[in-house]
Amino acid sequence: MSRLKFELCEQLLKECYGDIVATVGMSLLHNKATPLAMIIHRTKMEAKQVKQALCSLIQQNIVTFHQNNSGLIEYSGSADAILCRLRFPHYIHCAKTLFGDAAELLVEELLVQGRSTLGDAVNKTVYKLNESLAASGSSIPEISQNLIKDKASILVKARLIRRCEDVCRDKDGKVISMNVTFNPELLFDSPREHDYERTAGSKRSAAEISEVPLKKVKLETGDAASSLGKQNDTGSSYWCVNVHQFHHHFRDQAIISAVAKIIDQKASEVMRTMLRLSETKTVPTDPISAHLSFTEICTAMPKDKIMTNNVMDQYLKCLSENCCGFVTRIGESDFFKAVEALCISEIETIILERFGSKALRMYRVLLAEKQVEQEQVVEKSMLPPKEAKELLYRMFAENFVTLTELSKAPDHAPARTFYFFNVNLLQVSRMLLEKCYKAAANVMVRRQKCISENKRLLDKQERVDAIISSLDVESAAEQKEEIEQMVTLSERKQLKKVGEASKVLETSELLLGHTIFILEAFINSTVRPVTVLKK
Amino acid sequence: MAAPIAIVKQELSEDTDIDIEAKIIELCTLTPKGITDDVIKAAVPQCDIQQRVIAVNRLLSTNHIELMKSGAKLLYKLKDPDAVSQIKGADTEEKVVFQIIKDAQNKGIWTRDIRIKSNLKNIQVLNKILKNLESKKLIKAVKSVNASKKKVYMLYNLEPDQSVTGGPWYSASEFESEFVEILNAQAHKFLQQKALDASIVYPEDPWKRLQTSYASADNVLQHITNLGISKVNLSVKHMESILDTLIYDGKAELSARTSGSSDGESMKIYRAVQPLTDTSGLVKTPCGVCPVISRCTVDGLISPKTCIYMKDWLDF
Amino acid sequence: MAGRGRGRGRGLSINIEALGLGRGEVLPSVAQPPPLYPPLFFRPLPPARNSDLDYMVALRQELRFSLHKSPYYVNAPHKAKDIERYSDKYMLGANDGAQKWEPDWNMFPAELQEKRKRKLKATGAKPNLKAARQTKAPDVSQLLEKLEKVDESRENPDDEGNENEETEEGVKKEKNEDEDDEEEEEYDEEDLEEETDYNLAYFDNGEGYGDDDEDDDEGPTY
Repeated sequence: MSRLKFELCEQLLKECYGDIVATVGMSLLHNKATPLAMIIHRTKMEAKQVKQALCSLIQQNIVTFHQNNSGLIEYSGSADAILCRLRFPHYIHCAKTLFGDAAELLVEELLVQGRSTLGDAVNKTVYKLNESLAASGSSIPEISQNLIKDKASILVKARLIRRCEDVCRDKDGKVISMNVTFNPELLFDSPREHDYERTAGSKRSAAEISEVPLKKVKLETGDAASSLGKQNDTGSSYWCVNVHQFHHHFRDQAIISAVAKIIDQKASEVMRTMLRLSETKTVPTDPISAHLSFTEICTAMPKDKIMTNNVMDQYLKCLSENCCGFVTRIGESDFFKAVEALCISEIETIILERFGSKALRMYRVLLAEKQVEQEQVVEKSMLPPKEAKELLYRMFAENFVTLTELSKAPDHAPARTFYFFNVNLLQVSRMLLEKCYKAAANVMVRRQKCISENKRLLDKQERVDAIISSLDVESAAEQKEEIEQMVTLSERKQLKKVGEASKVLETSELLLGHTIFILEAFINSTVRPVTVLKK
Repeated sequence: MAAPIAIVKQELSEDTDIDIEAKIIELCTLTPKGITDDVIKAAVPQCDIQQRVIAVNRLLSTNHIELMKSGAKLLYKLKDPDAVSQIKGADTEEKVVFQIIKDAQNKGIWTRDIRIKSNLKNIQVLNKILKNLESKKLIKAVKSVNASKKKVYMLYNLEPDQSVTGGPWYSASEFESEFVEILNAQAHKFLQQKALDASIVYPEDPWKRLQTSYASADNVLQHITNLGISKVNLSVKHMESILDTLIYDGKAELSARTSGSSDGESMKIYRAVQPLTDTSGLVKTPCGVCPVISRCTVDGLISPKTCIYMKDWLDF
Repeated sequence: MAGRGRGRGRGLSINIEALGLGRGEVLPSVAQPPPLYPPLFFRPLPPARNSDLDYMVALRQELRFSLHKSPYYVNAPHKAKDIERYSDKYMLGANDGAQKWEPDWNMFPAELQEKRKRKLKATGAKPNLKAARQTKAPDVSQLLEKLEKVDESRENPDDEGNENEETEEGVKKEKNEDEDDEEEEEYDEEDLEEETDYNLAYFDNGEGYGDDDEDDDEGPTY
């Protein structure tokens, strides 16, 4: 794991969950599985805080625990899970575009809570929706629970949310380790009625209510009547977000927008349909999707975008002949190639902005020709030789291109050696990924600094706003004005600037998250041919 | 021939010698292709072979005629009178050098190669000769486009070859990048226009639309020639290299269409495209273009907290 | 030193090329040493703004807000104040959130639980104890005394956890392991119940249990 990745994780943890959790989390990342005592010792913090932090981390699906051979429970953290936090807004937005507002709120709830029972999540969503309805004063009747429950089932069917893995218990019934699910399908079992009933752990009052059935089970041992996590052999009744599925969506989305750029909008719709169909059929980690037949695609097109068979056929032809190998004639999409093409495109845009269009030209020459000598590059790209050489060397210095030597003579004299330039995509991707991590961490640091510098002003503004909103009830426009005046014009300007800067920084974070995603997708697709369905 | 022949020759009158020479020259002028020994014999039957030989030799040495071989026969050709005067007074070395350069024709020859071929070991002498020839305007030096330090020599009146000057992209051995860029831009515009036209003509037919938005190198060439931007005549090959640069710019893509016509070979066709993804998020932050990012740490001298690039960027 | 061309030089000193400046660009008027932030060759693009991104930015801010407020945001505990101020009771610290959340111990390893509560458990007076427990009353009262002593010597609430662990271990040695486990189990579930005022009302040790903020308001009720 790289240093820069860790730094980014640290920043994310600090921002989301505070310093204490960050320290504990980082200690877990730096070392592999560690038992509790070791963690306390390493972080030099108090046991109580460490435990609290661990609880938070486990709840948020960042840390898992297993029992090792000596009987101690060891905790290990996952950096990728932390990095997902960078993409939370993407997930929520995706849910919204796919399934609407209710889905959005459900996903948001699950993301914030880490894991939760469906009942809890549904209740909160209903509450939020009704609240906002009331606030906006619309006449739409209150949203019922059932509506939200349906939405939840839809989300489960789409595999966007899933059950959490259950825990193993030892002979005394104590929790010792998290289960590795043998059958991933169980995680996507539709929610049952009792899934909605349980509301454990999040609120005290609710906890009290649910404690009664818990106790009952304990005292009347063996009674599996109440809905505890234990009784499900299909998985616990806690649910969490399935980020893998969201990642597939992002990848599909990137492919679709690429297709739109190459051909046109309609073609992208066709692509979208194809991808949706293949979602259900393909093993998620396969580089190539399942075969789809023409009629299948035709029938699956959404109603408003239906087109004649002829046109459809033509689009498919276009896709298969054109799109850099995204689609083949048989009707399958090649994800590996698609991801590779997207990654290459990203890298090219980076080079374009960093070195200029001339450098881009040379880079593409190198990509196309694999091993080239310097003169050939310059010749093919038809650029002024001096400038071309300089750019080439600059790119080499920053590791975008690599040099291989092939000596003609055994003495490896420079004059008698061939120097070939080439591009090693994997290496460049990794290098850029590191840069992205660094950039993301930097942006976050900068934003925090910005906020902390202007904390006084921001607090003031908050107080003023709070006072104004409380005053609203009692009119008195002059009072309002007076208080508004407390914030001077220059302060207002400053605040506006801070707000703008903050927005810019946040936007960059989001965009960086997207770039990180594409680069990671490419690297993962080359490195891991088969993966078990993970969180 | 043995010595007695020479003695015999001396007994002959000089007139005969001169006659033979004049006759030979006359014959050569009549037959620019060259005359064989037999022809001379027929023309001056009274001279015997020795006389002829001497006459021929003298003419050769004075460079009035030159000796050529055609198959197994020897031909005597009249030499260019200018060349005669040119080389007059030149010594053999110069002649040799000149000959070598001439042989190199329009590709020219490098000094080192001249030295090797002429077996002249002394560089100074060679240079002097070259300078002499240059001042006599017999040869000229042309800068090679590959290595600007290299000079190749060729006959004065010859046009240097493509490989030396680099073709239309080079003028005076300077790479004309602007010219290339202009052509590049024009070609791109043309392709874009074609795509636009295609979308107007076939709004509903994606396949046809796609097909018509392709253009071959020929089409582009014609368009450019019509525009008249280029002073030099461009060939299809040149056009293809320009289009290749467009591909390398990521602005066009190459495909092959088998032309249904007679030749049946696949033709290269080009189409304007857009990049697959939007500009990456990395270069939308200063960190993406920062030259000192490798030295950037949170609490160091160069850190995101104090980064002036970020400051500028946020202030827009 | 690469020469005099460094900060001000025209012409191509090696340094300038290494710093990525273009030729002919105006150099910053810095004397020596070379600028820490050389002028950028290419400026970064301004970040794109479209409605989607704006929405996501707003989402981000909301998320951050809710995460901060969430019980998962672990804050440093209240530092011991010299004087307990009246206003502390009304200060809305994020600690409140942290305290309110209790993980579902069915899914979490037991060792992560707060051992400090064993102290309560050891004190024994539970309204819903099984009959069997009553037999242990003598043991328990001994423990009670022991622990009260421990309490009195306690100054810093933060040490509470450690001290409790120590005493608890001592307690463990005295008791039967089986019983311990049993009680532990019961305690695990009953713990939440026992945080109610009923239990704590019995044991009002003036200093309060440090960060049991939620119990503070139990104080005055009896």
